[in-house]
Amino acid sequence: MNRTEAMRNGLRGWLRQHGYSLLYSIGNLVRHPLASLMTVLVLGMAMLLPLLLWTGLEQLQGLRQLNEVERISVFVDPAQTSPQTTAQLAPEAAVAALATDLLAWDEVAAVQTISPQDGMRQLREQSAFGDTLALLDDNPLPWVLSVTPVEDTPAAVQALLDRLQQQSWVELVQADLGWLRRLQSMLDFAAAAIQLLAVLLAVAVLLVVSNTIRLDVQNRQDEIDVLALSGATPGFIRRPFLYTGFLYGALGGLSALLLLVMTLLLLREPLAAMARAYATSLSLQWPPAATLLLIVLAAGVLGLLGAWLAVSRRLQLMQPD
Amino acid sequence: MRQTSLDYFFNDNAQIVFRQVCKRFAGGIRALDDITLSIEQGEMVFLTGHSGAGKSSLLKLISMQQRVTRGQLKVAGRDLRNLPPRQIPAHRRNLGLVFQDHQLLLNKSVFDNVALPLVIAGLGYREIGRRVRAALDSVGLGEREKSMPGMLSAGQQQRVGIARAIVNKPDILLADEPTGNLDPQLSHDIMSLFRSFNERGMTVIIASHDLYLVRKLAQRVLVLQEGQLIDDVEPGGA
Repeated sequence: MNRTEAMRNGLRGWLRQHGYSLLYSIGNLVRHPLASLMTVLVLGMAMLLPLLLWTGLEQLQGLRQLNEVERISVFVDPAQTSPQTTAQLAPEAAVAALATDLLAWDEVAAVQTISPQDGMRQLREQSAFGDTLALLDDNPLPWVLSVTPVEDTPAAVQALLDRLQQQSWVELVQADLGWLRRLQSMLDFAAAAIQLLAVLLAVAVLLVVSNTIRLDVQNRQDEIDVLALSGATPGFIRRPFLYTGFLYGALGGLSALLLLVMTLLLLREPLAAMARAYATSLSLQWPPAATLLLIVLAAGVLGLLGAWLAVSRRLQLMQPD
Repeated sequence: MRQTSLDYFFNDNAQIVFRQVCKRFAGGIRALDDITLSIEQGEMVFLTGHSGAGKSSLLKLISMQQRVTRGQLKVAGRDLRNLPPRQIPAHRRNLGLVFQDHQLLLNKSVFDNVALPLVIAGLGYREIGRRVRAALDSVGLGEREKSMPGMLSAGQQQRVGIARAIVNKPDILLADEPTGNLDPQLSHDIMSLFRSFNERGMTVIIASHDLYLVRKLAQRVLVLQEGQLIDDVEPGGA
């Protein structure tokens, strides 16, 4: 037998052993359907909580995107624009020129010009002071540039605010940065809490799988002894349990996703009704398929680790003394 | 290792070599004490003695279920006292083990029980089938491959255990009280099986306290008492 053939036979034998272990693990789960289902559901429930919170956090991040805070209102004094424009241009043209200048800034995504007339019209439409406003002789509202920053983090918005305030033609800059900061800090806190919870529940998944496999190992001690005495390597003995652990974890992750889908379906309509009440178009976003796959795989790996812990301890005890 | 006068009588090239082997358990309990013996390839040897004499301990040292406390034990040239854990499975694959209580897996068919060492070795399904059937035929259970162990008599179960032990064509067959639970006729049948394997070149070591059966088979007998080897009777000896 040449070396290539020996390697091919070795690989074939290795694959056969893996096939045996996988089939054995599946058979073991199928032979005890109720116990397997219970374990999978317990794992699914444990994983559902951080998943649900994480999905909720993603929705809140989306809510932040909808917020008007990301627009900065810049009150312009056309008289203070550059001497050339003041001298040569009407206020409309001067403000339009400023808007064009602002758009060239790296940190500015969009600029909308609101004339005093437009401002007054919006005020009449959106407030209850329509009749009162009609009594005014002049329009006291200034020219406003509504600036949308490229980046909407509090730091970036603050930096843009500072730069805008340094411009001579700016009378006043307004942005509800405090609200943005509060929202951001709440979201940061929630994200940290969810990460902590996810770690704790990952440990719980690890322990649940480890304990389940430990009991399985105990129940099959006779079989393990026979395997060991027949020349099975620790890897061969460990492998079916690792597959079982992986399957428990992955199926637990899958059941958590199913429960998540059911929960989101149940919440979709009440959320849509709430969004309608606030005149927004907020809707639940499904996590991307790659993320879902990653969750199932990560859960499987957790199960595998739990199984490894349980079996390794047992194999250690089986070493001859 | 200190040279002693025993070295003159000693065959270091034998398949199994015990040299001044001691086995002690925690608390100083002595299982084997200063055992020196050698077993040639193709020999059939009985270990006999009262319960607690050290028969099972000696077999467990050979199968690496336990390690030597002191002395030297070599099997097929391997120094078992210093054998690294990762080499134990390979060592065991050269052994066949038969137990008094059969140690069959009750949730697996006769076929699957016998196939276990071959699955461990990573053989193909066709080769496994061929070898399992040959092993079952050799113990007279060719028709029972689909049966579950619980459906078989004690004698048949022991035959399945023997088929599992020889299916991998081991160099050495170790049997610990293989007829302990069987009636005289079944015991004789089982011993005949062992002799037939030995006649084909397999080294067979059987621990038994059934002196009648041991004498009847007229093979080499090692007599143990309180962990010491007190007699080594060659075939045809007293």
